[in-house]
Amino acid sequence: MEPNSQMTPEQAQAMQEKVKNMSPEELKEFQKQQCIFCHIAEGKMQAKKVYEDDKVIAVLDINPANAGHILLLPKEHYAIMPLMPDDLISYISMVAKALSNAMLKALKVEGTNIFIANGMSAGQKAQHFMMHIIPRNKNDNLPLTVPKMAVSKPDMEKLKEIVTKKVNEIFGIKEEKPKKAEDKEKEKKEEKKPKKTKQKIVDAEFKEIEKKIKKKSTAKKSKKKKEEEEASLDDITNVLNNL
Amino acid sequence: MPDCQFCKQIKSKENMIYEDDKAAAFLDSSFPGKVTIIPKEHYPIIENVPDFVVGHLFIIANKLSKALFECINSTGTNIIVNNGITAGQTIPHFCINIIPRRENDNINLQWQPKQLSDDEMESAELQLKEETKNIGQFDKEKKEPVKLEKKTEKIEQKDGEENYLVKQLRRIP
Repeated sequence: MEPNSQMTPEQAQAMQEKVKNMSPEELKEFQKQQCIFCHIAEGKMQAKKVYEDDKVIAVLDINPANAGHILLLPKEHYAIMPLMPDDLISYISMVAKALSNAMLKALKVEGTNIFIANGMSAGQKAQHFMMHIIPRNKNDNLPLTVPKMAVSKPDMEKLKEIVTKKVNEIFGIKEEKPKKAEDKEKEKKEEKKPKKTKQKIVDAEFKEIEKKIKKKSTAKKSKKKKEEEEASLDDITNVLNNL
Repeated sequence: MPDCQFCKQIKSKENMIYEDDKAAAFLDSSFPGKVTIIPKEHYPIIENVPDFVVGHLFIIANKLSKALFECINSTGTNIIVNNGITAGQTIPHFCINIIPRRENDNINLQWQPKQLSDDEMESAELQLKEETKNIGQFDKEKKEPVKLEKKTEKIEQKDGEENYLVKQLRRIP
Protein backbone atom coordinates (compact mmCIF):
# COMPACT_ATOMS: atom_id res chain seq x y z
CA MET A 1 0.00 0.00 0.00
CA GLU A 2 1.62 3.31 -1.08
CA PRO A 3 -0.88 6.13 -0.87
CA ASN A 4 1.84 8.78 -1.10
CA SER A 5 2.72 7.86 -4.66
CA GLN A 6 -0.81 8.64 -5.80
CA MET A 7 -1.02 12.06 -4.10
CA THR A 8 0.63 15.39 -4.86
CA PRO A 9 3.29 16.56 -2.34
CA GLU A 10 0.88 19.18 -0.96
CA GLN A 11 -1.84 16.56 -0.41
CA ALA A 12 0.69 14.24 1.25
CA GLN A 13 1.78 17.02 3.62
CA ALA A 14 -1.81 17.85 4.51
CA MET A 15 -2.47 14.16 5.20
CA GLN A 16 0.59 13.92 7.48
CA GLU A 17 -0.52 16.91 9.51
CA LYS A 18 -4.01 15.45 9.86
CA VAL A 19 -2.57 12.13 11.09
CA LYS A 20 -0.36 13.89 13.68
CA ASN A 21 -3.35 15.46 15.38
CA MET A 22 -5.37 12.27 15.65
CA SER A 23 -5.97 10.32 18.86
CA PRO A 24 -4.95 6.60 18.91
CA GLU A 25 -8.55 5.47 18.37
CA GLU A 26 -9.04 7.87 15.47
CA LEU A 27 -5.73 6.74 14.02
CA LYS A 28 -6.80 3.09 14.21
CA GLU A 29 -10.09 3.87 12.46
CA PHE A 30 -8.22 5.83 9.80
CA GLN A 31 -5.78 2.97 9.22
CA LYS A 32 -8.68 0.51 9.02
CA GLN A 33 -10.36 2.51 6.29
CA GLN A 34 -7.15 2.57 4.26
CA CYS A 35 -6.19 -1.04 4.99
CA ILE A 36 -6.48 -3.54 2.13
CA PHE A 37 -6.29 -6.47 4.52
CA CYS A 38 -9.20 -5.21 6.61
CA HIS A 39 -11.20 -5.02 3.38
CA ILE A 40 -10.19 -8.61 2.57
CA ALA A 41 -11.13 -9.78 6.09
CA GLU A 42 -14.53 -8.10 5.78
CA GLY A 43 -15.07 -9.65 2.34
CA LYS A 44 -15.04 -6.30 0.56
CA MET A 45 -12.03 -7.29 -1.53
CA GLN A 46 -11.37 -10.55 -3.34
CA ALA A 47 -8.58 -12.89 -2.33
CA LYS A 48 -7.77 -16.60 -2.48
CA LYS A 49 -8.81 -17.73 1.02
CA VAL A 50 -7.40 -21.00 2.32
CA TYR A 51 -8.63 -20.80 5.94
CA GLU A 52 -11.02 -18.62 7.88
CA ASP A 53 -12.62 -18.56 11.32
CA ASP A 54 -14.04 -15.86 13.62
CA LYS A 55 -10.61 -14.50 14.68
CA VAL A 56 -8.18 -15.00 11.79
CA ILE A 57 -8.04 -15.35 8.01
CA ALA A 58 -5.40 -16.94 5.76
CA VAL A 59 -5.01 -15.95 2.10
CA LEU A 60 -2.52 -16.63 -0.68
CA ASP A 61 0.01 -13.84 -1.27
CA ILE A 62 -0.31 -12.29 -4.73
CA ASN A 63 3.45 -11.63 -4.70
CA PRO A 64 4.62 -14.99 -3.40
CA ALA A 65 8.13 -16.16 -2.59
CA ASN A 66 7.05 -19.66 -3.62
CA ALA A 67 3.78 -21.19 -4.84
CA GLY A 68 1.48 -21.59 -1.85
CA HIS A 69 2.89 -18.65 0.17
CA ILE A 70 0.22 -17.90 2.83
CA LEU A 71 -0.50 -14.65 4.66
CA LEU A 72 -2.14 -15.31 8.05
CA LEU A 73 -3.69 -12.25 9.69
CA PRO A 74 -6.07 -11.38 12.52
CA LYS A 75 -9.44 -10.04 11.42
CA GLU A 76 -9.15 -7.23 13.99
CA HIS A 77 -6.81 -4.45 12.85
CA TYR A 78 -3.44 -4.38 14.68
CA ALA A 79 -0.46 -2.62 13.08
CA ILE A 80 2.31 -4.56 14.85
CA MET A 81 2.66 -7.55 17.17
CA PRO A 82 3.33 -5.64 20.44
CA LEU A 83 -0.16 -4.09 20.12
CA MET A 84 -1.88 -7.49 20.04
CA PRO A 85 -3.33 -9.17 23.15
CA ASP A 86 -1.57 -12.34 24.38
CA ASP A 87 -4.52 -14.68 23.83
CA LEU A 88 -4.78 -13.64 20.17
CA ILE A 89 -1.02 -14.12 19.67
CA SER A 90 -1.30 -17.58 21.20
CA TYR A 91 -4.29 -18.46 18.99
CA ILE A 92 -2.81 -17.17 15.73
CA SER A 93 0.47 -19.03 16.36
CA MET A 94 -1.46 -22.29 16.86
CA VAL A 95 -3.21 -21.69 13.53
CA ALA A 96 0.19 -20.97 11.94
CA LYS A 97 1.44 -24.34 13.18
CA ALA A 98 -1.63 -26.07 11.71
CA LEU A 99 -1.19 -24.25 8.37
CA SER A 100 2.49 -25.18 8.21
CA ASN A 101 1.48 -28.82 8.77
CA ALA A 102 -1.21 -28.56 6.08
CA MET A 103 1.33 -27.04 3.70
CA LEU A 104 3.78 -29.93 4.21
CA LYS A 105 1.03 -32.45 3.39
CA ALA A 106 -0.76 -30.58 0.59
CA LEU A 107 2.17 -29.18 -1.37
CA LYS A 108 4.59 -31.99 -0.48
CA VAL A 109 7.40 -29.63 0.38
CA GLU A 110 10.21 -30.46 2.80
CA GLY A 111 10.27 -27.33 4.90
CA THR A 112 8.41 -24.17 5.82
CA ASN A 113 9.38 -20.76 7.16
CA ILE A 114 7.28 -18.63 9.47
CA PHE A 115 8.27 -14.98 9.04
CA ILE A 116 7.05 -11.90 10.91
CA ALA A 117 8.15 -8.33 10.14
CA ASN A 118 7.52 -5.78 12.92
CA GLY A 119 8.20 -2.27 11.67
CA MET A 120 9.29 -0.74 8.38
CA SER A 121 13.00 -1.29 9.06
CA ALA A 122 12.21 -5.01 9.40
CA GLY A 123 10.53 -5.09 5.99
CA GLN A 124 6.89 -4.62 7.01
CA LYS A 125 5.06 -3.36 3.95
CA ALA A 126 1.44 -3.15 5.10
CA GLN A 127 0.01 -1.53 8.24
CA HIS A 128 -1.72 -4.76 9.30
CA PHE A 129 0.04 -7.46 11.34
CA MET A 130 0.52 -10.70 9.44
CA MET A 131 2.50 -13.93 9.61
CA HIS A 132 4.06 -15.23 6.40
CA ILE A 133 4.04 -19.02 6.02
CA ILE A 134 6.37 -19.87 3.16
CA PRO A 135 6.87 -23.33 1.62
CA ARG A 136 10.50 -24.20 0.87
CA ASN A 137 12.13 -26.40 -1.74
CA LYS A 138 15.74 -27.47 -2.07
CA ASN A 139 17.97 -24.79 -3.59
CA ASP A 140 15.23 -22.21 -3.98
CA ASN A 141 17.72 -19.58 -2.71
CA LEU A 142 15.31 -17.53 -0.66
CA PRO A 143 17.13 -14.98 1.55
CA LEU A 144 15.39 -16.16 4.74
CA THR A 145 18.55 -17.29 6.50
CA VAL A 146 19.51 -15.50 9.68
CA PRO A 147 22.41 -13.06 9.06
CA LYS A 148 25.78 -13.68 10.75
CA MET A 149 28.01 -11.11 12.39
CA ALA A 150 30.26 -12.46 15.17
CA VAL A 151 30.00 -10.82 18.60
CA SER A 152 32.99 -10.56 20.97
CA LYS A 153 32.76 -11.94 24.54
CA PRO A 154 32.87 -8.56 26.31
CA ASP A 155 30.09 -7.26 24.04
CA MET A 156 28.04 -10.39 24.78
CA GLU A 157 28.43 -9.80 28.52
CA LYS A 158 27.26 -6.20 28.16
CA LEU A 159 24.31 -7.19 25.99
CA LYS A 160 23.33 -9.93 28.41
CA GLU A 161 23.29 -7.49 31.32
CA ILE A 162 21.23 -4.86 29.49
CA VAL A 163 18.75 -7.28 27.97
CA THR A 164 18.26 -9.39 31.14
CA LYS A 165 17.46 -6.23 33.13
CA LYS A 166 14.83 -5.16 30.63
CA VAL A 167 13.37 -8.65 30.35
CA ASN A 168 13.04 -8.90 34.16
CA GLU A 169 11.31 -5.49 34.14
CA ILE A 170 8.82 -6.59 31.49
CA PHE A 171 8.09 -9.97 33.09
CA GLY A 172 8.12 -8.57 36.64
CA ILE A 173 10.93 -10.88 37.79
CA LYS A 174 12.93 -9.77 40.86
CA GLU A 175 16.66 -10.19 40.45
CA GLU A 176 18.43 -12.44 42.98
CA LYS A 177 22.12 -11.62 43.20
CA PRO A 178 24.09 -14.86 42.89
CA LYS A 179 26.27 -15.57 45.94
CA LYS A 180 29.95 -15.25 45.22
CA ALA A 181 32.35 -17.94 46.37
CA GLU A 182 33.96 -15.44 48.81
CA ASP A 183 30.59 -14.61 50.39
CA LYS A 184 29.77 -18.30 50.76
CA GLU A 185 33.07 -18.91 52.56
CA LYS A 186 32.43 -15.94 54.86
CA GLU A 187 29.02 -17.32 55.75
CA LYS A 188 30.55 -20.68 56.63
CA LYS A 189 33.13 -19.03 58.87
CA GLU A 190 30.50 -16.99 60.67
CA GLU A 191 28.47 -20.12 61.34
CA LYS A 192 31.45 -21.74 63.04
CA LYS A 193 32.57 -18.66 65.04
CA PRO A 194 29.75 -18.29 67.60
CA LYS A 195 30.18 -21.91 68.78
CA LYS A 196 33.85 -21.34 69.48
CA THR A 197 33.36 -18.09 71.37
CA LYS A 198 30.57 -19.68 73.46
CA GLN A 199 32.84 -22.55 74.33
CA LYS A 200 35.56 -20.14 75.23
CA ILE A 201 33.27 -18.18 77.51
CA VAL A 202 32.18 -21.36 79.29
CA ASP A 203 35.77 -22.52 79.66
CA ALA A 204 36.82 -19.15 81.04
CA GLU A 205 34.04 -19.22 83.61
CA PHE A 206 35.09 -22.68 84.75
CA LYS A 207 38.64 -21.54 85.15
CA GLU A 208 37.58 -18.60 87.28
CA ILE A 209 35.50 -20.84 89.51
CA GLU A 210 38.43 -23.24 89.86
CA LYS A 211 40.69 -20.39 90.83
CA LYS A 212 38.28 -19.23 93.49
CA ILE A 213 38.04 -22.71 94.92
CA LYS A 214 41.81 -23.00 94.98
CA LYS A 215 42.15 -19.64 96.68
CA LYS A 216 39.70 -20.63 99.40
CA SER A 217 41.38 -23.95 99.97
CA THR A 218 44.83 -22.35 100.15
CA ALA A 219 43.47 -19.67 102.49
CA LYS A 220 42.07 -22.39 104.79
CA LYS A 221 45.33 -24.29 104.73
CA SER A 222 47.32 -21.20 105.63
CA LYS A 223 44.98 -20.50 108.56
CA LYS A 224 45.43 -24.00 109.91
CA LYS A 225 49.16 -23.76 109.61
CA LYS A 226 49.20 -20.50 111.52
CA GLU A 227 47.07 -21.96 114.24
CA GLU A 228 49.36 -24.97 114.49
CA GLU A 229 52.42 -22.80 114.64
CA GLU A 230 50.92 -20.63 117.32
CA ALA A 231 50.03 -23.72 119.34
CA SER A 232 53.53 -25.08 119.12
CA LEU A 233 55.03 -21.74 120.18
CA ASP A 234 52.77 -21.63 123.25
CA ASP A 235 53.93 -25.10 124.25
CA ILE A 236 57.54 -24.10 123.98
CA THR A 237 57.04 -20.93 126.10
CA ASN A 238 55.21 -22.98 128.73
CA VAL A 239 58.04 -25.42 128.89
CA LEU A 240 60.60 -22.63 129.20
CA ASN A 241 58.63 -20.95 132.02
CA ASN A 242 58.52 -24.18 133.97
CA LEU A 243 62.34 -24.57 134.04
CA MET B 1 18.29 -35.37 24.10
CA PRO B 2 21.94 -35.75 25.20
CA ASP B 3 23.52 -34.77 21.86
CA CYS B 4 21.37 -31.72 21.19
CA GLN B 5 23.21 -28.40 21.45
CA PHE B 6 20.14 -26.57 22.73
CA CYS B 7 19.31 -29.21 25.35
CA LYS B 8 22.89 -28.85 26.65
CA GLN B 9 22.59 -25.07 26.68
CA ILE B 10 19.41 -25.28 28.79
CA LYS B 11 21.40 -27.14 31.43
CA SER B 12 24.49 -24.92 31.25
CA LYS B 13 22.40 -21.70 31.14
CA GLU B 14 25.03 -20.03 28.95
CA ASN B 15 23.86 -16.57 27.79
CA MET B 16 20.38 -17.25 29.18
CA ILE B 17 18.16 -14.18 29.49
CA TYR B 18 14.79 -15.75 30.38
CA GLU B 19 13.52 -19.04 31.73
CA ASP B 20 10.21 -20.53 32.88
CA ASP B 21 8.73 -24.02 33.21
CA LYS B 22 8.14 -24.50 29.45
CA ALA B 23 10.65 -22.30 27.62
CA ALA B 24 14.10 -20.72 27.73
CA ALA B 25 15.59 -17.78 25.82
CA PHE B 26 19.27 -17.11 25.00
CA LEU B 27 21.35 -14.44 23.37
CA ASP B 28 23.00 -15.79 20.22
CA SER B 29 26.64 -14.89 19.63
CA SER B 30 26.27 -15.21 15.85
CA PHE B 31 24.55 -11.81 15.58
CA PRO B 32 24.44 -8.83 17.99
CA GLY B 33 21.13 -8.74 19.85
CA LYS B 34 19.76 -11.92 18.28
CA VAL B 35 17.58 -13.91 20.68
CA THR B 36 16.69 -17.61 20.36
CA ILE B 37 13.67 -19.01 22.17
CA ILE B 38 13.32 -22.77 22.61
CA PRO B 39 10.95 -25.15 24.39
CA LYS B 40 12.62 -26.97 27.32
CA GLU B 41 11.34 -30.30 26.00
CA HIS B 42 13.10 -31.58 22.89
CA TYR B 43 10.92 -31.23 19.76
CA PRO B 44 12.59 -31.27 16.29
CA ILE B 45 10.02 -29.24 14.30
CA ILE B 46 6.90 -27.19 14.97
CA GLU B 47 4.60 -30.06 14.03
CA ASN B 48 5.83 -32.04 17.07
CA VAL B 49 5.40 -29.17 19.54
CA PRO B 50 2.06 -29.24 21.47
CA ASP B 51 -0.25 -26.35 20.54
CA PHE B 52 -0.29 -24.71 23.96
CA VAL B 53 3.54 -24.68 24.02
CA VAL B 54 3.61 -23.00 20.58
CA GLY B 55 1.20 -20.33 21.85
CA HIS B 56 3.30 -19.78 24.99
CA LEU B 57 6.55 -19.51 22.96
CA PHE B 58 5.09 -16.84 20.66
CA ILE B 59 3.79 -14.80 23.59
CA ILE B 60 7.32 -14.82 25.04
CA ALA B 61 8.73 -13.94 21.59
CA ASN B 62 6.44 -10.92 21.49
CA LYS B 63 7.53 -9.70 24.94
CA LEU B 64 11.21 -10.24 24.19
CA SER B 65 10.91 -8.31 20.93
CA LYS B 66 9.34 -5.47 22.98
CA ALA B 67 12.39 -5.63 25.28
CA LEU B 68 14.73 -5.39 22.27
CA PHE B 69 12.75 -2.39 20.93
CA GLU B 70 13.33 -0.60 24.23
CA CYS B 71 16.79 -1.52 25.41
CA ILE B 72 19.00 -1.69 22.32
CA ASN B 73 17.24 0.99 20.26
CA SER B 74 16.07 -1.24 17.47
CA THR B 75 13.35 0.23 15.27
CA GLY B 76 12.03 -3.13 14.13
CA THR B 77 12.27 -6.87 14.77
CA ASN B 78 12.02 -9.95 12.59
CA ILE B 79 10.71 -13.17 14.04
CA ILE B 80 11.76 -16.19 11.98
CA VAL B 81 11.08 -19.90 12.38
CA ASN B 82 13.13 -22.30 10.26
CA ASN B 83 11.16 -25.53 9.99
CA GLY B 84 13.19 -28.22 8.29
CA ILE B 85 16.66 -28.37 6.69
CA THR B 86 15.41 -26.91 3.38
CA ALA B 87 14.08 -23.96 5.36
CA GLY B 88 17.49 -23.31 6.89
CA GLN B 89 17.17 -25.22 10.19
CA THR B 90 20.64 -26.11 11.49
CA ILE B 91 19.87 -27.59 14.94
CA PRO B 92 17.15 -30.27 15.18
CA HIS B 93 15.44 -28.59 18.15
CA PHE B 94 12.55 -26.24 17.41
CA CYS B 95 13.47 -22.57 17.92
CA ILE B 96 12.14 -19.08 17.28
CA ASN B 97 14.72 -16.45 16.25
CA ILE B 98 14.27 -12.76 16.98
CA ILE B 99 16.49 -10.40 15.02
CA PRO B 100 16.64 -6.70 15.97
CA ARG B 101 16.60 -4.37 12.98
CA ARG B 102 17.55 -0.77 12.34
CA GLU B 103 17.24 1.38 9.25
CA ASN B 104 20.09 0.93 6.76
CA ASP B 105 21.55 -2.05 8.60
CA ASN B 106 22.41 -3.81 5.32
CA ILE B 107 20.46 -6.94 6.11
CA ASN B 108 18.31 -8.22 3.31
CA LEU B 109 15.57 -10.71 4.19
CA GLN B 110 13.30 -9.69 1.32
CA TRP B 111 12.53 -12.20 -1.41
CA GLN B 112 11.96 -11.52 -5.07
CA PRO B 113 8.25 -12.08 -5.71
CA LYS B 114 7.51 -14.73 -8.29
CA GLN B 115 5.05 -14.18 -11.06
CA LEU B 116 2.90 -17.31 -11.02
CA SER B 117 0.25 -18.17 -13.53
CA ASP B 118 -3.41 -18.28 -12.52
CA ASP B 119 -3.41 -22.09 -12.84
CA GLU B 120 -0.53 -22.47 -10.44
CA MET B 121 -2.20 -20.16 -7.93
CA GLU B 122 -5.52 -21.99 -8.20
CA SER B 123 -4.05 -25.47 -7.81
CA ALA B 124 -2.10 -24.34 -4.73
CA GLU B 125 -5.30 -22.84 -3.29
CA LEU B 126 -7.32 -26.03 -3.83
CA GLN B 127 -4.61 -28.30 -2.45
CA LEU B 128 -4.27 -26.22 0.68
CA LYS B 129 -8.03 -25.94 1.21
CA GLU B 130 -8.28 -29.76 1.25
CA GLU B 131 -5.87 -29.97 4.17
CA THR B 132 -7.07 -26.93 6.10
CA LYS B 133 -10.54 -28.49 6.43
CA ASN B 134 -8.99 -30.76 9.06
CA ILE B 135 -7.92 -27.85 11.28
CA GLY B 136 -10.02 -28.29 14.39
CA GLN B 137 -9.49 -27.78 18.09
CA PHE B 138 -6.09 -27.06 19.52
CA ASP B 139 -4.37 -29.02 22.31
CA LYS B 140 -4.81 -27.46 25.70
CA GLU B 141 -2.51 -27.89 28.66
CA LYS B 142 -3.66 -30.81 30.81
CA LYS B 143 -4.00 -29.73 34.41
CA GLU B 144 -3.87 -32.41 37.10
CA PRO B 145 -7.31 -32.93 38.66
CA VAL B 146 -7.67 -31.83 42.28
CA LYS B 147 -8.03 -34.88 44.53
CA LEU B 148 -10.82 -34.52 47.04
CA GLU B 149 -10.47 -36.68 50.11
CA LYS B 150 -13.68 -38.08 51.53
CA LYS B 151 -13.72 -37.33 55.20
CA THR B 152 -16.16 -39.13 57.41
CA GLU B 153 -16.12 -38.00 60.99
CA LYS B 154 -16.42 -40.76 63.52
CA ILE B 155 -18.51 -39.88 66.47
CA GLU B 156 -16.58 -40.85 69.57
CA GLN B 157 -18.61 -41.88 72.55
CA LYS B 158 -17.11 -41.63 75.98
CA ASP B 159 -18.39 -43.96 78.69
CA GLY B 160 -21.10 -42.42 80.77
CA GLU B 161 -21.38 -39.39 78.52
CA GLU B 162 -23.39 -39.03 75.40
CA ASN B 163 -21.87 -37.15 72.49
CA TYR B 164 -23.72 -33.90 71.89
CA LEU B 165 -24.31 -34.85 68.26
CA VAL B 166 -26.03 -38.07 69.25
CA LYS B 167 -28.08 -36.08 71.78
CA GLN B 168 -29.26 -33.82 68.97
CA LEU B 169 -30.47 -36.84 67.01
CA ARG B 170 -32.47 -38.11 69.94
CA ARG B 171 -34.26 -34.84 70.52
CA ILE B 172 -37.95 -35.24 70.06
CA PRO B 173 -39.25 -32.38 67.90
